[in-house]
Amino acid sequence: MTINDKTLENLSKLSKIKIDDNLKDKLKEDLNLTMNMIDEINKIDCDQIEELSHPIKDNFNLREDKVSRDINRESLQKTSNKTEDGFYLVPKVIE
Amino acid sequence: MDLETLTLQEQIEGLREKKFSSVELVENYISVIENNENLNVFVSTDFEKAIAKAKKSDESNNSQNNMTLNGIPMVHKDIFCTQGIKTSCGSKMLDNFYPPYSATVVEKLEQAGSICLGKANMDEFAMGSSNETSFYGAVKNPLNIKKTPGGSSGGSAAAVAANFSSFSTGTDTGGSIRQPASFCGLAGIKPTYGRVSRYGMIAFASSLDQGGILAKNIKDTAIALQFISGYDSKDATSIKAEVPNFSEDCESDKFDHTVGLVTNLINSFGDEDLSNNYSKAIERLKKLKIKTKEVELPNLELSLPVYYVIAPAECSANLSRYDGIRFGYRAENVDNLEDLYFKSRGEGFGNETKKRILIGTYCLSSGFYDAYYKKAQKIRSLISSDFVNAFKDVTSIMLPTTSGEAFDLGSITDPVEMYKQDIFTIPANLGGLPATSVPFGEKNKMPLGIQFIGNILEESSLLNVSNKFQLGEK
Repeated sequence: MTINDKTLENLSKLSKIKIDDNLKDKLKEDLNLTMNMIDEINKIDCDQIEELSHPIKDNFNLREDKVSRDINRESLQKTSNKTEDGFYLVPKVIE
Repeated sequence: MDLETLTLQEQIEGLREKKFSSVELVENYISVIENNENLNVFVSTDFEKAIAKAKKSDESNNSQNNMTLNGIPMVHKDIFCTQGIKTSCGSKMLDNFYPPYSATVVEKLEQAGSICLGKANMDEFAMGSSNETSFYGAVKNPLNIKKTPGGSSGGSAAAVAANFSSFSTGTDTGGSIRQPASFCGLAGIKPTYGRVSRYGMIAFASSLDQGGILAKNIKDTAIALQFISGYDSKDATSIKAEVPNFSEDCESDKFDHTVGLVTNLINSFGDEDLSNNYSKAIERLKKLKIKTKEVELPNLELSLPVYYVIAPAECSANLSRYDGIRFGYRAENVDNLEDLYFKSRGEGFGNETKKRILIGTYCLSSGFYDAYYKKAQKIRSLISSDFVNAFKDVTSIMLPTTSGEAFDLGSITDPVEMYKQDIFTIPANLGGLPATSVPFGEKNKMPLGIQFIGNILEESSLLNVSNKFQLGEK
Protein backbone atom coordinates (compact mmCIF):
# COMPACT_ATOMS: atom_id res chain seq x y z
CA MET A 1 0.00 0.00 0.00
CA THR A 2 1.44 3.35 -1.08
CA ILE A 3 -0.51 5.55 1.30
CA ASN A 4 -0.84 4.20 4.85
CA ASP A 5 -1.81 5.91 8.11
CA LYS A 6 1.64 7.38 8.55
CA THR A 7 1.77 8.81 5.01
CA LEU A 8 -1.71 10.25 5.42
CA GLU A 9 -0.71 11.94 8.64
CA ASN A 10 2.34 13.42 6.96
CA LEU A 11 0.26 14.65 4.00
CA SER A 12 -2.22 16.21 6.41
CA LYS A 13 0.63 18.06 8.10
CA LEU A 14 2.21 19.21 4.84
CA SER A 15 -1.05 20.46 3.39
CA LYS A 16 -2.36 21.82 6.71
CA ILE A 17 -5.68 20.07 6.34
CA LYS A 18 -7.28 18.50 9.40
CA ILE A 19 -8.59 15.07 8.45
CA ASP A 20 -11.45 13.69 10.52
CA ASP A 21 -10.95 10.16 11.83
CA ASN A 22 -14.14 8.90 10.20
CA LEU A 23 -12.84 10.01 6.79
CA LYS A 24 -9.43 8.37 7.01
CA ASP A 25 -10.23 4.87 5.71
CA LYS A 26 -12.20 6.07 2.71
CA LEU A 27 -9.51 8.65 1.93
CA LYS A 28 -6.74 6.07 2.08
CA GLU A 29 -8.71 3.75 -0.20
CA ASP A 30 -9.41 6.48 -2.77
CA LEU A 31 -5.87 7.84 -2.68
CA ASN A 32 -4.42 4.39 -3.21
CA LEU A 33 -6.76 3.67 -6.13
CA THR A 34 -5.66 6.96 -7.67
CA MET A 35 -1.96 6.35 -7.03
CA ASN A 36 -2.25 2.88 -8.63
CA MET A 37 -3.65 4.50 -11.75
CA ILE A 38 -0.92 7.16 -11.65
CA ASP A 39 1.81 4.51 -11.27
CA GLU A 40 1.26 3.63 -14.97
CA ILE A 41 3.66 6.46 -15.76
CA ASN A 42 6.50 4.56 -14.15
CA LYS A 43 6.33 1.92 -16.88
CA ILE A 44 7.47 4.51 -19.41
CA ASP A 45 11.13 5.15 -20.06
CA CYS A 46 11.56 8.82 -20.87
CA ASP A 47 14.75 9.81 -19.09
CA GLN A 48 16.07 11.68 -22.11
CA ILE A 49 12.91 13.73 -22.63
CA GLU A 50 12.79 17.33 -21.54
CA GLU A 51 10.02 18.26 -19.08
CA LEU A 52 7.11 20.39 -20.24
CA SER A 53 5.78 22.60 -17.49
CA HIS A 54 3.83 25.03 -19.61
CA PRO A 55 1.90 24.33 -22.82
CA ILE A 56 2.82 27.52 -24.70
CA LYS A 57 6.58 27.87 -24.83
CA ASP A 58 8.23 31.24 -24.12
CA ASN A 59 4.95 33.02 -23.56
CA PHE A 60 5.38 35.10 -20.47
CA ASN A 61 4.28 38.63 -21.07
CA LEU A 62 5.16 40.54 -17.97
CA ARG A 63 3.56 43.93 -17.62
CA GLU A 64 5.52 47.11 -17.09
CA ASP A 65 7.13 47.19 -13.65
CA LYS A 66 4.93 49.99 -12.33
CA VAL A 67 2.88 50.15 -9.17
CA SER A 68 -0.83 50.22 -9.92
CA ARG A 69 -3.56 50.74 -7.37
CA ASP A 70 -6.55 49.09 -9.02
CA ILE A 71 -7.76 47.75 -5.70
CA ASN A 72 -7.27 49.51 -2.40
CA ARG A 73 -6.50 47.93 0.95
CA GLU A 74 -9.90 48.76 2.41
CA SER A 75 -11.89 46.96 -0.27
CA LEU A 76 -9.50 44.01 -0.18
CA GLN A 77 -9.85 43.65 3.56
CA LYS A 78 -13.64 43.60 3.36
CA THR A 79 -13.26 39.94 2.44
CA SER A 80 -12.01 39.19 5.95
CA ASN A 81 -14.13 39.58 9.05
CA LYS A 82 -11.14 40.00 11.33
CA THR A 83 -9.11 43.12 10.56
CA GLU A 84 -7.97 46.12 12.56
CA ASP A 85 -6.20 49.32 11.43
CA GLY A 86 -5.39 47.78 8.06
CA PHE A 87 -4.02 44.54 9.50
CA TYR A 88 -5.42 41.03 9.50
CA LEU A 89 -6.00 39.54 12.92
CA VAL A 90 -4.78 36.04 13.76
CA PRO A 91 -4.55 34.10 17.02
CA LYS A 92 -1.69 35.22 19.23
CA VAL A 93 1.67 33.84 18.01
CA ILE A 94 4.05 35.51 20.51
CA GLU A 95 3.45 35.24 24.24
CA MET B 1 -42.49 33.46 -29.94
CA ASP B 2 -40.64 31.48 -27.28
CA LEU B 3 -37.82 33.92 -26.72
CA GLU B 4 -35.96 31.58 -24.39
CA THR B 5 -35.47 28.95 -27.11
CA LEU B 6 -33.76 31.35 -29.52
CA THR B 7 -30.07 31.03 -30.26
CA LEU B 8 -27.66 33.82 -29.39
CA GLN B 9 -27.48 34.86 -33.03
CA GLU B 10 -31.27 34.98 -33.30
CA GLN B 11 -31.45 37.09 -30.15
CA ILE B 12 -28.87 39.55 -31.44
CA GLU B 13 -30.80 39.89 -34.70
CA GLY B 14 -34.18 40.09 -32.94
CA LEU B 15 -33.00 42.86 -30.64
CA ARG B 16 -31.44 44.74 -33.53
CA GLU B 17 -34.63 44.52 -35.58
CA LYS B 18 -36.63 45.42 -32.45
CA LYS B 19 -38.75 42.26 -32.70
CA PHE B 20 -38.54 42.12 -28.92
CA SER B 21 -36.82 44.04 -26.15
CA SER B 22 -34.06 43.08 -23.78
CA VAL B 23 -36.51 43.48 -20.88
CA GLU B 24 -38.82 40.94 -22.54
CA LEU B 25 -35.88 38.57 -23.01
CA VAL B 26 -34.76 38.90 -19.40
CA GLU B 27 -38.29 38.56 -17.99
CA ASN B 28 -38.88 35.49 -20.14
CA TYR B 29 -35.75 33.84 -18.81
CA ILE B 30 -36.59 34.73 -15.21
CA SER B 31 -39.95 33.05 -15.55
CA VAL B 32 -38.35 29.88 -17.02
CA ILE B 33 -35.70 29.87 -14.28
CA GLU B 34 -38.29 30.27 -11.51
CA ASN B 35 -40.29 27.36 -12.90
CA ASN B 36 -37.27 25.06 -12.91
CA GLU B 37 -35.57 25.66 -9.59
CA ASN B 38 -35.37 21.90 -9.01
CA LEU B 39 -32.45 21.73 -11.47
CA ASN B 40 -30.26 23.52 -8.88
CA VAL B 41 -28.47 25.47 -11.59
CA PHE B 42 -27.69 28.66 -9.71
CA VAL B 43 -25.59 29.51 -6.69
CA SER B 44 -26.86 33.09 -6.85
CA THR B 45 -29.07 35.26 -9.05
CA ASP B 46 -29.82 38.97 -9.17
CA PHE B 47 -32.92 39.42 -11.29
CA GLU B 48 -33.66 42.99 -10.17
CA LYS B 49 -30.28 44.16 -11.37
CA ALA B 50 -30.71 42.18 -14.61
CA ILE B 51 -34.04 43.88 -15.36
CA ALA B 52 -32.57 47.30 -14.55
CA LYS B 53 -29.69 46.64 -16.93
CA ALA B 54 -32.09 45.40 -19.62
CA LYS B 55 -34.05 48.64 -19.39
CA LYS B 56 -30.85 50.59 -19.91
CA SER B 57 -29.91 48.36 -22.84
CA ASP B 58 -33.27 48.91 -24.50
CA GLU B 59 -32.86 52.67 -24.14
CA SER B 60 -29.42 52.57 -25.68
CA ASN B 61 -29.98 49.86 -28.27
CA ASN B 62 -27.58 50.76 -31.00
CA SER B 63 -28.33 49.32 -34.40
CA GLN B 64 -24.95 50.35 -35.80
CA ASN B 65 -23.03 47.50 -34.27
CA ASN B 66 -24.50 44.29 -35.56
CA MET B 67 -22.44 41.97 -33.37
CA THR B 68 -22.86 43.61 -30.01
CA LEU B 69 -24.19 41.59 -27.12
CA ASN B 70 -26.13 44.64 -25.94
CA GLY B 71 -29.11 43.45 -23.93
CA ILE B 72 -28.29 39.73 -24.21
CA PRO B 73 -28.80 37.76 -20.99
CA MET B 74 -26.17 35.20 -20.04
CA VAL B 75 -24.88 33.08 -17.16
CA HIS B 76 -21.40 32.97 -15.60
CA LYS B 77 -19.83 29.91 -14.07
CA ASP B 78 -19.36 30.71 -10.38
CA ILE B 79 -15.59 30.44 -10.82
CA PHE B 80 -15.38 33.93 -12.39
CA CYS B 81 -15.00 36.73 -9.85
CA THR B 82 -17.82 39.26 -9.98
CA GLN B 83 -17.22 42.43 -8.01
CA GLY B 84 -19.52 42.64 -5.01
CA ILE B 85 -21.41 39.49 -6.06
CA LYS B 86 -20.82 36.21 -4.25
CA THR B 87 -18.30 33.99 -6.04
CA SER B 88 -18.24 30.59 -4.37
CA CYS B 89 -16.44 28.30 -6.83
CA GLY B 90 -18.87 25.66 -5.57
CA SER B 91 -17.12 25.57 -2.20
CA LYS B 92 -18.01 26.16 1.45
CA MET B 93 -14.57 27.76 1.58
CA LEU B 94 -15.82 30.68 -0.55
CA ASP B 95 -19.47 30.70 0.50
CA ASN B 96 -18.87 34.13 2.10
CA PHE B 97 -16.61 35.52 -0.64
CA TYR B 98 -17.65 38.77 -2.34
CA PRO B 99 -14.71 39.64 -4.62
CA PRO B 100 -13.37 43.21 -4.64
CA TYR B 101 -12.82 42.98 -8.42
CA SER B 102 -14.24 41.27 -11.49
CA ALA B 103 -12.57 38.76 -13.78
CA THR B 104 -11.43 40.08 -17.16
CA VAL B 105 -13.92 37.71 -18.84
CA VAL B 106 -16.73 39.24 -16.77
CA GLU B 107 -15.62 42.79 -17.54
CA LYS B 108 -15.31 42.08 -21.26
CA LEU B 109 -18.79 40.60 -21.49
CA GLU B 110 -20.20 43.52 -19.50
CA GLN B 111 -18.49 45.98 -21.83
CA ALA B 112 -20.06 44.12 -24.76
CA GLY B 113 -23.46 44.88 -23.18
CA SER B 114 -24.46 41.42 -21.97
CA ILE B 115 -26.51 40.99 -18.80
CA CYS B 116 -25.59 38.39 -16.20
CA LEU B 117 -28.65 36.59 -14.81
CA GLY B 118 -26.75 34.61 -12.21
CA LYS B 119 -23.78 32.50 -11.20
CA ALA B 120 -23.92 28.85 -12.15
CA ASN B 121 -23.31 25.95 -9.80
CA MET B 122 -20.22 23.82 -10.44
CA ASP B 123 -18.02 21.11 -8.98
CA GLU B 124 -16.03 22.43 -6.03
CA PHE B 125 -13.04 24.38 -7.37
CA ALA B 126 -13.83 22.79 -10.76
CA MET B 127 -12.73 19.39 -9.48
CA GLY B 128 -15.23 16.87 -10.72
CA SER B 129 -16.98 15.44 -13.75
CA SER B 130 -20.55 15.19 -12.46
CA ASN B 131 -21.25 18.35 -10.45
CA GLU B 132 -21.67 16.17 -7.39
CA THR B 133 -18.71 17.69 -5.54
CA SER B 134 -20.43 21.10 -5.24
CA PHE B 135 -21.07 22.40 -1.71
CA TYR B 136 -24.51 23.41 -3.02
CA GLY B 137 -25.49 19.93 -4.22
CA ALA B 138 -25.48 18.47 -7.72
CA VAL B 139 -27.04 20.17 -10.72
CA LYS B 140 -29.55 17.98 -12.55
CA ASN B 141 -29.44 17.38 -16.27
CA PRO B 142 -32.44 19.20 -17.83
CA LEU B 143 -32.80 16.42 -20.42
CA ASN B 144 -33.30 13.82 -17.68
CA ILE B 145 -33.19 14.92 -14.07
CA LYS B 146 -31.85 11.57 -12.87
CA LYS B 147 -28.68 12.18 -14.86
CA THR B 148 -25.67 14.36 -14.26
CA PRO B 149 -25.22 17.40 -16.52
CA GLY B 150 -21.48 16.64 -16.39
CA GLY B 151 -18.81 18.73 -14.74
CA SER B 152 -17.28 20.82 -13.72
CA SER B 153 -19.21 23.45 -15.73
CA GLY B 154 -22.44 21.49 -15.12
CA GLY B 155 -24.49 24.50 -14.06
CA SER B 156 -23.34 26.45 -17.12
CA ALA B 157 -24.35 23.57 -19.40
CA ALA B 158 -27.68 22.95 -17.66
CA ALA B 159 -28.46 26.69 -17.87
CA VAL B 160 -28.26 26.66 -21.66
CA ALA B 161 -29.92 23.26 -22.06
CA ALA B 162 -32.84 24.34 -19.82
CA ASN B 163 -33.26 27.62 -21.75
CA PHE B 164 -32.11 29.85 -18.90
CA SER B 165 -29.78 31.67 -21.31
CA SER B 166 -28.53 31.31 -24.87
CA PHE B 167 -24.90 31.02 -23.80
CA SER B 168 -22.81 30.72 -20.68
CA THR B 169 -19.19 30.91 -19.64
CA GLY B 170 -17.30 27.86 -18.45
CA THR B 171 -13.77 26.78 -17.69
CA ASP B 172 -11.95 23.69 -18.84
CA THR B 173 -8.96 22.16 -17.06
CA GLY B 174 -9.39 18.58 -18.27
CA GLY B 175 -12.71 18.67 -20.14
CA SER B 176 -14.96 20.76 -17.92
CA ILE B 177 -16.58 22.63 -20.82
CA ARG B 178 -16.62 19.87 -23.42
CA GLN B 179 -17.92 16.98 -21.30
CA PRO B 180 -20.93 18.91 -19.89
CA ALA B 181 -21.63 20.27 -23.39
CA SER B 182 -21.68 16.69 -24.65
CA PHE B 183 -23.89 15.46 -21.79
CA CYS B 184 -26.42 18.27 -22.31
CA GLY B 185 -26.52 18.23 -26.14
CA LEU B 186 -24.70 21.55 -26.55
CA ALA B 187 -21.71 23.00 -28.34
CA GLY B 188 -18.70 24.09 -26.32
CA ILE B 189 -15.28 25.51 -26.95
CA LYS B 190 -12.13 25.53 -24.87
CA PRO B 191 -9.81 27.92 -26.70
CA THR B 192 -6.01 27.79 -26.86
CA TYR B 193 -4.36 28.14 -23.45
CA GLY B 194 -3.68 31.88 -23.15
CA ARG B 195 -6.34 33.02 -25.63
CA VAL B 196 -8.66 34.03 -22.79
CA SER B 197 -7.39 35.86 -19.72
CA ARG B 198 -7.37 33.88 -16.47
CA TYR B 199 -7.39 37.06 -14.36
CA GLY B 200 -10.15 36.71 -11.78
CA MET B 201 -10.84 33.12 -12.80
CA ILE B 202 -10.32 31.16 -9.61
CA ALA B 203 -7.30 28.93 -10.15
CA PHE B 204 -7.35 25.13 -10.10
CA ALA B 205 -4.37 24.02 -12.22
CA SER B 206 -2.69 27.06 -13.72
CA SER B 207 -0.95 25.42 -16.69
CA LEU B 208 -4.20 23.75 -17.79
CA ASP B 209 -7.11 26.08 -16.86
CA GLN B 210 -8.75 27.96 -19.68
CA GLY B 211 -12.04 29.86 -19.93
CA GLY B 212 -14.49 29.28 -22.76
CA ILE B 213 -18.10 29.19 -23.91
CA LEU B 214 -21.09 26.83 -23.95
CA ALA B 215 -24.01 27.51 -26.30
CA LYS B 216 -26.69 25.83 -28.39
CA ASN B 217 -24.50 25.68 -31.48
CA ILE B 218 -20.95 26.32 -32.68
CA LYS B 219 -21.82 29.62 -34.37
CA ASP B 220 -23.02 30.99 -31.03
CA THR B 221 -19.83 29.84 -29.27
CA ALA B 222 -17.86 31.70 -31.96
CA ILE B 223 -19.87 34.90 -31.42
CA ALA B 224 -19.39 34.84 -27.65
CA LEU B 225 -15.76 33.69 -27.74
CA GLN B 226 -14.93 36.80 -29.74
CA PHE B 227 -15.82 39.00 -26.79
CA ILE B 228 -13.82 37.18 -24.11
CA SER B 229 -10.63 36.61 -26.12
CA GLY B 230 -7.48 38.70 -26.24
CA TYR B 231 -4.29 39.64 -24.45
CA ASP B 232 -4.64 40.92 -20.90
CA SER B 233 -1.77 42.63 -19.12
CA LYS B 234 -3.18 41.25 -15.85
CA ASP B 235 -2.45 37.66 -16.95
CA ALA B 236 1.20 37.07 -17.82
CA THR B 237 0.30 33.81 -19.56
CA SER B 238 -2.25 35.36 -21.90
CA ILE B 239 -1.04 35.40 -25.49
CA LYS B 240 -0.21 38.59 -27.37
CA ALA B 241 -1.93 37.65 -30.61
CA GLU B 242 -4.57 39.31 -32.70
CA VAL B 243 -8.05 37.90 -32.21
CA PRO B 244 -9.52 36.87 -35.58
CA ASN B 245 -13.18 37.42 -36.42
CA PHE B 246 -14.35 34.02 -35.15
CA SER B 247 -17.94 34.66 -36.09
CA GLU B 248 -17.13 35.36 -39.74
CA ASP B 249 -14.43 32.68 -39.92
CA CYS B 250 -16.85 30.11 -38.55
CA GLU B 251 -18.91 30.33 -41.76
CA SER B 252 -16.14 31.17 -44.22
CA ASP B 253 -15.12 29.13 -47.28
CA LYS B 254 -11.46 30.07 -46.96
CA PHE B 255 -10.37 27.05 -44.90
CA ASP B 256 -9.03 23.84 -46.37
CA HIS B 257 -9.57 21.06 -43.85
CA THR B 258 -7.91 17.70 -43.33
CA VAL B 259 -9.33 16.04 -40.26
CA GLY B 260 -7.08 13.62 -38.41
CA LEU B 261 -8.68 10.35 -37.34
CA VAL B 262 -7.64 7.82 -34.72
CA THR B 263 -9.88 4.93 -35.72
CA ASN B 264 -7.64 2.13 -34.43
CA LEU B 265 -7.28 3.81 -31.07
CA ILE B 266 -11.05 4.24 -30.70
CA ASN B 267 -11.65 0.62 -31.71
CA SER B 268 -9.05 -0.55 -29.19
CA PHE B 269 -11.42 0.45 -26.38
CA GLY B 270 -13.65 -2.47 -27.45
CA ASP B 271 -16.81 -0.38 -26.98
CA GLU B 272 -19.12 -1.03 -29.94
CA ASP B 273 -21.31 2.03 -29.38
CA LEU B 274 -18.27 4.28 -29.11
CA SER B 275 -16.79 2.88 -32.34
CA ASN B 276 -20.13 3.09 -34.16
CA ASN B 277 -20.68 6.73 -33.30
CA TYR B 278 -17.11 7.52 -34.36
CA SER B 279 -17.67 5.70 -37.70
CA LYS B 280 -20.87 7.67 -38.28
CA ALA B 281 -18.96 10.90 -37.61
CA ILE B 282 -16.37 9.85 -40.22
CA GLU B 283 -19.21 9.17 -42.67
CA ARG B 284 -20.54 12.66 -42.09
CA LEU B 285 -17.12 14.16 -42.81
CA LYS B 286 -16.97 12.16 -46.05
CA LYS B 287 -20.45 13.32 -47.10
CA LEU B 288 -19.33 16.86 -46.45
CA LYS B 289 -16.33 16.17 -48.70
CA ILE B 290 -13.93 17.03 -45.89
CA LYS B 291 -10.58 15.25 -46.31
CA THR B 292 -9.53 12.84 -43.59
CA LYS B 293 -6.25 11.15 -42.66
CA GLU B 294 -5.42 8.61 -39.99
CA VAL B 295 -2.94 9.95 -37.42
CA GLU B 296 -1.10 8.42 -34.48
CA LEU B 297 -1.49 9.60 -30.89
CA PRO B 298 0.50 6.77 -29.27
CA ASN B 299 0.62 8.26 -25.79
CA LEU B 300 -3.00 9.39 -25.52
CA GLU B 301 -3.90 6.89 -22.81
CA LEU B 302 -1.08 8.17 -20.62
CA SER B 303 -2.87 11.52 -20.49
CA LEU B 304 -4.99 10.36 -17.59
CA PRO B 305 -2.21 9.43 -15.13
CA VAL B 306 -0.13 12.41 -16.26
CA TYR B 307 -3.05 14.76 -15.66
CA TYR B 308 -3.71 13.30 -12.22
CA VAL B 309 -0.18 14.20 -11.20
CA ILE B 310 0.06 17.64 -12.79
CA ALA B 311 -3.42 18.99 -11.99
CA PRO B 312 -3.35 17.97 -8.30
CA ALA B 313 0.24 19.20 -7.95
CA GLU B 314 -0.72 22.61 -9.29
CA CYS B 315 -3.94 22.61 -7.27
CA SER B 316 -2.11 21.84 -4.03
CA ALA B 317 0.00 24.95 -4.61
CA ASN B 318 -2.88 27.16 -5.79
CA LEU B 319 -5.22 26.21 -2.99
CA SER B 320 -2.64 26.96 -0.32
CA ARG B 321 -3.98 30.53 -0.47
CA TYR B 322 -7.06 29.43 1.49
CA ASP B 323 -5.68 29.96 4.97
CA GLY B 324 -8.79 31.24 6.73
CA ILE B 325 -7.26 34.66 7.29
CA ARG B 326 -7.51 36.99 4.32
CA PHE B 327 -10.70 35.69 2.74
CA GLY B 328 -12.93 32.65 2.70
CA TYR B 329 -13.99 30.33 5.48
CA ARG B 330 -12.45 30.86 8.91
CA ALA B 331 -12.86 28.21 11.58
CA GLU B 332 -14.06 29.19 15.06
CA ASN B 333 -12.75 27.93 18.40
CA VAL B 334 -9.12 27.57 17.46
CA ASP B 335 -6.19 27.20 19.86
CA ASN B 336 -3.47 28.90 17.84
CA LEU B 337 -2.48 30.00 14.32
CA GLU B 338 -1.54 26.49 13.19
CA ASP B 339 -4.89 25.22 14.44
CA LEU B 340 -6.64 28.01 12.50
CA TYR B 341 -5.03 26.79 9.26
CA PHE B 342 -5.79 23.11 9.91
CA LYS B 343 -9.39 23.61 10.95
CA SER B 344 -10.27 26.26 8.35
CA ARG B 345 -8.96 24.04 5.55
CA GLY B 346 -10.33 20.82 7.08
CA GLU B 347 -13.82 22.28 7.48
CA GLY B 348 -13.85 24.55 4.41
CA PHE B 349 -12.79 22.07 1.70
CA GLY B 350 -14.99 19.23 0.50
CA ASN B 351 -13.71 15.66 0.21
CA GLU B 352 -12.78 15.67 -3.49
CA THR B 353 -10.80 18.88 -3.11
CA LYS B 354 -9.00 17.46 -0.08
CA LYS B 355 -8.18 14.32 -2.03
CA ARG B 356 -6.66 16.25 -4.90
CA ILE B 357 -4.64 18.50 -2.60
CA LEU B 358 -3.31 15.40 -0.81
CA ILE B 359 -2.39 13.66 -4.09
CA GLY B 360 -0.64 16.79 -5.31
CA THR B 361 1.16 17.17 -2.01
CA TYR B 362 2.27 13.54 -2.19
CA CYS B 363 3.58 13.86 -5.76
CA LEU B 364 5.51 17.02 -4.86
CA SER B 365 6.83 15.78 -1.53
CA SER B 366 10.46 15.03 -0.81
CA GLY B 367 11.52 11.74 -2.39
CA PHE B 368 8.59 11.57 -4.82
CA TYR B 369 9.03 14.76 -6.84
CA ASP B 370 11.22 13.17 -9.52
CA ALA B 371 9.25 9.93 -9.71
CA TYR B 372 5.90 11.63 -10.16
CA TYR B 373 5.92 15.35 -10.94
CA LYS B 374 9.05 15.45 -13.08
CA LYS B 375 8.14 12.20 -14.80
CA ALA B 376 4.62 13.43 -15.56
CA GLN B 377 6.06 16.59 -17.11
CA LYS B 378 8.32 14.48 -19.34
CA ILE B 379 5.37 12.41 -20.54
CA ARG B 380 3.39 15.62 -21.02
CA SER B 381 6.17 16.60 -23.37
CA LEU B 382 5.72 13.32 -25.30
CA ILE B 383 1.95 13.84 -25.58
CA SER B 384 2.47 17.40 -26.76
CA SER B 385 5.01 16.20 -29.37
CA ASP B 386 2.49 13.66 -30.65
CA PHE B 387 0.15 16.54 -31.43
CA VAL B 388 2.92 18.59 -33.05
CA ASN B 389 3.67 15.63 -35.33
CA ALA B 390 0.01 14.98 -36.10
CA PHE B 391 -0.58 18.62 -37.03
CA LYS B 392 2.11 18.37 -39.73
CA ASP B 393 -0.44 16.39 -41.77
CA VAL B 394 -3.85 17.54 -40.58
CA THR B 395 -5.66 20.74 -39.60
CA SER B 396 -7.69 19.23 -36.76
CA ILE B 397 -8.15 15.91 -35.00
CA MET B 398 -11.49 14.26 -34.34
CA LEU B 399 -12.14 12.29 -31.16
CA PRO B 400 -15.24 11.37 -29.19
CA THR B 401 -15.86 13.94 -26.42
CA THR B 402 -16.66 11.26 -23.87
CA SER B 403 -16.77 7.48 -23.89
CA GLY B 404 -20.50 7.45 -23.17
CA GLU B 405 -23.66 9.43 -22.44
CA ALA B 406 -24.56 11.26 -19.20
CA PHE B 407 -24.63 8.78 -16.32
CA ASP B 408 -27.03 8.59 -13.39
CA LEU B 409 -26.31 10.90 -10.48
CA GLY B 410 -24.71 8.92 -7.66
CA SER B 411 -23.85 5.97 -9.88
CA ILE B 412 -20.04 6.34 -9.93
CA THR B 413 -18.34 5.94 -6.56
CA ASP B 414 -14.90 4.70 -7.66
CA PRO B 415 -12.76 7.85 -8.06
CA VAL B 416 -10.71 6.39 -10.91
CA GLU B 417 -13.87 5.47 -12.84
CA MET B 418 -14.94 9.11 -12.46
CA TYR B 419 -11.52 10.38 -13.57
CA LYS B 420 -11.74 8.19 -16.70
CA GLN B 421 -14.62 10.42 -17.85
CA ASP B 422 -11.99 12.81 -19.14
CA ILE B 423 -9.76 10.41 -21.08
CA PHE B 424 -10.54 12.02 -24.47
CA THR B 425 -10.67 15.62 -23.29
CA ILE B 426 -7.52 15.84 -21.14
CA PRO B 427 -4.99 15.60 -24.02
CA ALA B 428 -6.02 19.00 -25.46
CA ASN B 429 -5.40 20.63 -22.07
CA LEU B 430 -1.98 19.02 -21.73
CA GLY B 431 -1.04 20.40 -25.16
CA GLY B 432 -2.70 23.81 -24.57
CA LEU B 433 -4.73 23.17 -27.73
CA PRO B 434 -8.16 24.58 -28.61
CA ALA B 435 -10.98 22.03 -28.77
CA THR B 436 -14.72 21.95 -29.34
CA SER B 437 -17.50 19.54 -28.57
CA VAL B 438 -20.33 19.24 -31.10
CA PRO B 439 -23.56 17.33 -30.40
CA PHE B 440 -23.58 14.15 -32.49
CA GLY B 441 -25.44 10.89 -31.97
CA GLU B 442 -27.21 9.55 -28.93
CA LYS B 443 -27.21 6.62 -26.55
CA ASN B 444 -30.04 5.58 -24.23
CA LYS B 445 -31.96 8.67 -25.33
CA MET B 446 -29.16 10.96 -24.15
CA PRO B 447 -26.93 13.02 -26.44
CA LEU B 448 -23.33 12.22 -27.33
CA GLY B 449 -20.64 14.59 -28.53
CA ILE B 450 -17.84 14.63 -31.06
CA GLN B 451 -14.71 16.58 -30.28
CA PHE B 452 -12.46 18.47 -32.67
CA ILE B 453 -9.00 19.50 -31.50
CA GLY B 454 -7.24 22.29 -33.38
CA ASN B 455 -3.68 23.55 -33.53
CA ILE B 456 -2.48 26.34 -31.26
CA LEU B 457 -4.30 29.65 -31.95
CA GLU B 458 -6.19 28.04 -34.84
CA GLU B 459 -9.65 28.55 -33.34
CA SER B 460 -10.97 29.98 -36.62
CA SER B 461 -10.27 26.83 -38.60
CA LEU B 462 -11.44 24.70 -35.66
CA LEU B 463 -14.75 26.57 -35.36
CA ASN B 464 -15.17 26.38 -39.13
CA VAL B 465 -14.82 22.59 -39.33
CA SER B 466 -16.92 22.12 -36.18
CA ASN B 467 -19.66 24.32 -37.62
CA LYS B 468 -19.65 22.45 -40.96
CA PHE B 469 -19.84 19.17 -39.06
CA GLN B 470 -22.68 20.36 -36.84
CA LEU B 471 -24.73 21.70 -39.75
CA GLY B 472 -24.19 18.48 -41.73
CA GLU B 473 -25.23 18.20 -45.35
CA LYS B 474 -27.05 21.18 -46.76
